[in-house]
Amino acid sequence: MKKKILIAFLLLLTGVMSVFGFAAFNNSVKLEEKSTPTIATLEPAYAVTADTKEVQTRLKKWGYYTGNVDGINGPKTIAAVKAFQKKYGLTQDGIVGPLTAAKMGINLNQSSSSSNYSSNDRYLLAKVIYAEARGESYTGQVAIGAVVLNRVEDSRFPNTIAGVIYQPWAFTAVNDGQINLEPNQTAYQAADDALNGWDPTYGCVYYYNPETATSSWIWTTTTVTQIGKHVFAV
Amino acid sequence: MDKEKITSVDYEKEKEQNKSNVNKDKETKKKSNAQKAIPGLIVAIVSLLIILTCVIIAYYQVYNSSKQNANVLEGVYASSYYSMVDNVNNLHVDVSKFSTLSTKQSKLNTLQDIMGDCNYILAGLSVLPIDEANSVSAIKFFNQVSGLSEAYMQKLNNGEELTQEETLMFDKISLVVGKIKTNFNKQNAGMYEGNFSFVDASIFDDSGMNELSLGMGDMTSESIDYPAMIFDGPFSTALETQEVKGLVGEEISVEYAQNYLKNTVFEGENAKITYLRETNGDISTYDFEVNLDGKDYDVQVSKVGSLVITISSFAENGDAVMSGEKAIEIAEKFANKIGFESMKSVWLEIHDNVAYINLAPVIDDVIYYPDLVKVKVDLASQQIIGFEAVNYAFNHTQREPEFNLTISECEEVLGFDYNILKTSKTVIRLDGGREISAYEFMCERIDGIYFYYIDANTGEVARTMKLVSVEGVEKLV
Repeated sequence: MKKKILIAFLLLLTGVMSVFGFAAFNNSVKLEEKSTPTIATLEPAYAVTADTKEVQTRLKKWGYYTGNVDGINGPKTIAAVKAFQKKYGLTQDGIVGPLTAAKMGINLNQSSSSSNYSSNDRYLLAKVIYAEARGESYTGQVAIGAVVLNRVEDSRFPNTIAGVIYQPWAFTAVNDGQINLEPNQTAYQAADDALNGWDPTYGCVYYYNPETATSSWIWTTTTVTQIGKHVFAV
Repeated sequence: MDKEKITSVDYEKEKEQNKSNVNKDKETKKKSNAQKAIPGLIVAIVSLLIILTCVIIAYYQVYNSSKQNANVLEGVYASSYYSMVDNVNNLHVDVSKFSTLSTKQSKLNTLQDIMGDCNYILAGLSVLPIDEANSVSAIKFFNQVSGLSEAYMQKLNNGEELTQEETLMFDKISLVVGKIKTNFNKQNAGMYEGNFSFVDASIFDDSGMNELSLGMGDMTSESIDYPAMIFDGPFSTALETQEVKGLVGEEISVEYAQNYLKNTVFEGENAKITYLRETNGDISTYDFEVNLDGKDYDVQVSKVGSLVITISSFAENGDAVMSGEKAIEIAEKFANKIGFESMKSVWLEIHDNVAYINLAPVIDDVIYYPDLVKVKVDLASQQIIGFEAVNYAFNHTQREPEFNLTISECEEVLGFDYNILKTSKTVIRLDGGREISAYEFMCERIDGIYFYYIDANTGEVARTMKLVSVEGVEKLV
């Protein structure tokens, strides 16, 4: 009898430990998810946009500006810009427009849809490819990457890779957490191909699995091709 | 006899006595057992209480954590939503007043504000849980308004005037923004009543809809007559109807494409070619799977013009046994073999022992960047493992580019503090799809290498790119 009580007690204790263990595991998973490392971008894509600091740095180097490089477009900075414009026969409005920027060697042509992809983007793209299409053929994986990039270039979607991938409810893998799986080498290769312009879907911005798609709206899109389990559409 | 009787009586007594003793023993044992069971029972009850307490604590923790997460999410949604609505209101004011402005500076300032409003609105729209069907029209509209404003700013900065038609475009836009604003304000009124929760409202039902999506329903293209916006920019309406210029000739059959692959692209009897399907996008292709020497390739051949549009495969693990220069040689030879003439390497990037080579037609010393073809060469197996010619299929055509300004005239735009490393005559494609003749200046500046593209007829800076290093790979951005 004693033995039975002891066994029951141990079983109950195991149960208690399991409950706490599960709670602890849950917390650790959350922590891991939060601390998923991202590859540091060596130089951000916006490194060449003309911000006030960049203008001040250049003008200071060339002797037009004597104030601090503080990023504030104050009277001293405007006066320095005007002096620079005067020197090069530009309209003296104190604004660093395209002509003034070009004279300063600064690029203002960064468009919001720019295809200036960084290593973060490569990582994110590989993640979404792995999460959404790891069972598919290589071309099927490249196609998923291409759809993400096509969305970035399409006015109907957010203008960054992160914006497209994390747009709420856009990708199942984000909703169910599979996006947090670590991508394999094939997914990275597929991401590289997509980033380098490979697009087996020729501009598709939608894909779905016809066996599991629930949204009736998705059936109204125009099908371009089917690769593996996914139908690609515009 | 009497003795016998006595004995019998004694025996009965003794028997009863024994019976009574046994019963007593049993009772004593029972009592003793019951007494022994009490601690066990207490342990069990205490254990149960502990478990119950733990379960309650665990549940409370999970509940609390979920509630906290929901609150944080509610904050993100609410902040995005209300900022978005504020910026829709601001946008309405800015676009309404645009056609009343007369000075260049006030126009530039307002266009800048419009771009800012649009970008804030887009940031909000991309965060809120709205289904795609109901958000695409609105996102497209705000992207286009932002792109249009940027194009107009560029025009004003180049010293040009906006035409009356261009200025009045903002009145059309104002009407649309007004409708969107009304929709949002209607939705707002509903939210102020009762305890509205964005998190609760964001949950999708079986049809893929939720309360926020339904609210956005009035902003689809069916409900609002969005104006067509054509401008030199990435989101121009003009890009939606891109013409396929590079594919000419008769439509070929699957058998023809199969033979073409067998005899020209994958030479040799070893290639096993299997027809997979048709792809019917802007470019229509026959798609094949090719197995050559144990390696699989997915290949797409255009129905019109019989052009190889893509070859997709991946690199096996292995050490590089050849240089990038050798890979360029292989890539150029391959492109020439399958019908892409005058292709020269204009960019090489090596990543994970794979060379990505950009080829462009170079005719009379002019580089035609719109016709870019990309080739992937495995530096370990020395095989072509990828080929992509979508740009070529879309853009390749006979051109006669004009270069009315000289290189030295265009060089003046570069300002100073640079060292020109290389110059080339090029044709480039702008974001809006328009092609221009441009001089390419590869320059070294104090903070790195830049590529400037100066319009060879207007002298304007058409594009500036900087060479940056991403994970040890050099890219032009």
